[in-house]
Amino acid sequence: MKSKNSVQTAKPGTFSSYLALGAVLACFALVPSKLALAQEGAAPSFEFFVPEEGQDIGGIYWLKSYSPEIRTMDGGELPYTPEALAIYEERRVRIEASGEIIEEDQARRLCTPDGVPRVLQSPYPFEIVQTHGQIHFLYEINKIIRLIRMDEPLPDDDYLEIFPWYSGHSVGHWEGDTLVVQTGGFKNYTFLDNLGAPHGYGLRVTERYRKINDGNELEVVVDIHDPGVFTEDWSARFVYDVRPDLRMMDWNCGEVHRDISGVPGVVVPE
Amino acid sequence: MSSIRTLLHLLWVTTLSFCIFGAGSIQAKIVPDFSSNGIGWRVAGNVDNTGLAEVPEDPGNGYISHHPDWPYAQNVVNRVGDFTNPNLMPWAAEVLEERARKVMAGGIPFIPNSRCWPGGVPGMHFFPASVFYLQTEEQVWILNNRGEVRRVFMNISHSEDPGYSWYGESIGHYEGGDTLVIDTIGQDDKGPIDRYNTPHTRELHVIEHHRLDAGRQNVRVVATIVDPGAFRVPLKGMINYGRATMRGSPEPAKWEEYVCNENSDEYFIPEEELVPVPSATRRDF
Repeated sequence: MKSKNSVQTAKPGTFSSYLALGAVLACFALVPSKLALAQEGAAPSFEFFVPEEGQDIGGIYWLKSYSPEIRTMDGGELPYTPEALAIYEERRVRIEASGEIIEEDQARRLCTPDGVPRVLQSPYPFEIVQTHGQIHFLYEINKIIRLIRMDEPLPDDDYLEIFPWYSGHSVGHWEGDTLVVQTGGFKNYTFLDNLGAPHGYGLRVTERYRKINDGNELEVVVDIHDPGVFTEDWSARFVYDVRPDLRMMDWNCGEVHRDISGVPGVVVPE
Repeated sequence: MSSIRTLLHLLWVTTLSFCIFGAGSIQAKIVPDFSSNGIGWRVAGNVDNTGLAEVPEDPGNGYISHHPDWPYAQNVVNRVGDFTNPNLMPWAAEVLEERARKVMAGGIPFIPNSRCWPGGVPGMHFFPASVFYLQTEEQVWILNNRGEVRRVFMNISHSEDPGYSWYGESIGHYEGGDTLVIDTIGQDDKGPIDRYNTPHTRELHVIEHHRLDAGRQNVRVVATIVDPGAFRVPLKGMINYGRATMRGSPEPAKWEEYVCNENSDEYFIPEEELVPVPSATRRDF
């Protein structure tokens, strides 16, 4: 009987049914008003960037193996003109002589950006952040920020020469699963490697990034074009481990930084 | 019949629960767009980049401001902190007075950030450089055109032992559809909390509310600064950001490479007055 009575109370025209109907109507009134309030109080909800399949390159990476010297893909020496080679060899002698930082190496002395491709051989991690229309490369070393504007043309040669940046001006696009980054407009006092390899204002760099080894590694093949300094174009390759377990750390010149003694090839000067 | 009644009951309860809580959670899931597709924000409004301003609707316990007796209080270059502020612990008042008296004697009020060291939190807000937010589901990056990078990990708890660093450990979440709340601990005590050179301890705990206005033209940051080692009660202040434009142009400001530490030689100021810029003499590798 009790059950029957309860069901009867929900019949149309009873107090309970009016109460329930009121609750439903209130709900439909309340939800849109709450949403409207949210919309009124703030901009429309931000849509997080979702990469196309095979183009998810965001994350933290760490160089698999370090060498202070940059070499061509086949392990050869850089095809310098005789004048540029003389500068390189003179700097190498001074850099390899001790752990001291040579005067013109601002990137180590004052922590200015390393430039490209030198920063690609850094034994410290870096991270890639993908957002709408742009990709940021954030390097731990010297807290370097590189902005890659996606699907935009590289500024013209005059602009690149008049407004050079340490890291150059970069634009990018996707070719399938490969991120292609083109960079020009470098200050000419950055080095190409950690042994003082010189370059000119005419340096143009193309980097091709793609995930390899089932997505556990990131490969970049970098093409170098600098006709005033090299007798021919050349390429180099770097490979990084994907390291979601890492957090990027602060960086300041002269302070103690992350332990990199575990990176193969790293020799910490005494 | 009993099962029908139970079903109806469950339906009402579910519907009402959604009305009360569900709509709220939808609102909470609305993510404000601070990133603005690469367009920057710049300090604007009623502040002069020297420190936090008073929160109009909630003056609270205030903030450190210019010393009232300093005759050049309106000169934003010669910043002299009010070392008589009763909220300062004795040691902090002493340190601030020493720094202030140097400026009163004609010195230049350098802070580490003005010599290329990180600004920390909330110090990063006080430099007139464009600020950029990068937003993903897991993280927010706050960059500025002074080459600083700050990371905020979203929707997680603080680490058990975050250690100490210039920016500490920041965690965040969105609130009310328009606000990014950032909670920061683990900052070392190398930099001040403002451009008055107000010191703090490693106990510093900063809670920031970054609120985007409805027209998406301003971000108001209200910072609550808790540091029982330096201040008797928490400080509370705010700073406003507006849309950044290119110098001499109405065009929106986009990110540009800025390297603080280039051309850092100083020819006109005695070396003993300078905060040394970050530099190294030995290679790490």
